[in-house]
Amino acid sequence: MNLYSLLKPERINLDLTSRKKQDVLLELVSSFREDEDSGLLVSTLLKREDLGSTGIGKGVAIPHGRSLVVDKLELVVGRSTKGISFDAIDKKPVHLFFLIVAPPQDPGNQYLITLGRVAVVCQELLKRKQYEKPQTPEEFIQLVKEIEGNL
Amino acid sequence: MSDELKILLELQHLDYMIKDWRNASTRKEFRKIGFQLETDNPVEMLLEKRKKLAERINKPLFQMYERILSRYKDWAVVPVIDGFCGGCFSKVPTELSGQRKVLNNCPNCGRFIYWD
Repeated sequence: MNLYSLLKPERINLDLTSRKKQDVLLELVSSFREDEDSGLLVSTLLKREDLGSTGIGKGVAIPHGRSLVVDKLELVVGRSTKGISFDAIDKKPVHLFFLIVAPPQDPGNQYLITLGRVAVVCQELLKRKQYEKPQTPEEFIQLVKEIEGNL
Repeated sequence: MSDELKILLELQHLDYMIKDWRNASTRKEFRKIGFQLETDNPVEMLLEKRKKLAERINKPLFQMYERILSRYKDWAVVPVIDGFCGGCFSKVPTELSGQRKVLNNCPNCGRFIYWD
């Protein structure tokens, strides 16, 4: 699978304004749900965070969950130049977020495959802080496409 | 959306999570990705959260949720999509759509329904 094919410009926020965990989750979720379902989703994502932060270190977090609120996998990217406190495992601020929300019925287990792919692509995005370069969502998608082409 | 419905949906989301963490291959994949846990037993922690959440709704309602879940093994609360139940795909009577603020059940399958 290719991650870039799941990315949509309207789901990429290269200038996150939130400063706290709950707020950034809401900011990410709001890119595809702005009704009361967004609060429900954030609550679910926070319960997952309680098990252990999805901030996997080096400035990356991959919050994730399943919900009937979505009828297909939603992938949202967020970037913060200043960094956001997210209780990451290395205690460092998070600069790059990949939020994944998948429906519970998930033939082919796309949810887990996408999670794994995001982790791999993030390793490349972190090299020389490549994730800082794109100025537009389209440029970000192009960067991910190039990275995946070299994997 | 009523408070009861919100709690039922939260319960259901928690149940998806519990299902994932009970699955050994999923847990292995999570570890491989680099997710670290603050607990040795995530399922137990989630079950505790579930218990607390269940205490926020009345017992008969929770018992009904459990019955529906054990009957269908998938989900107990589903959206109505284009007038059809998201669980059994049968037509939901239009008179129920006028009672959106009331907790309803699909007349065909019995699952809790809500309008998306």
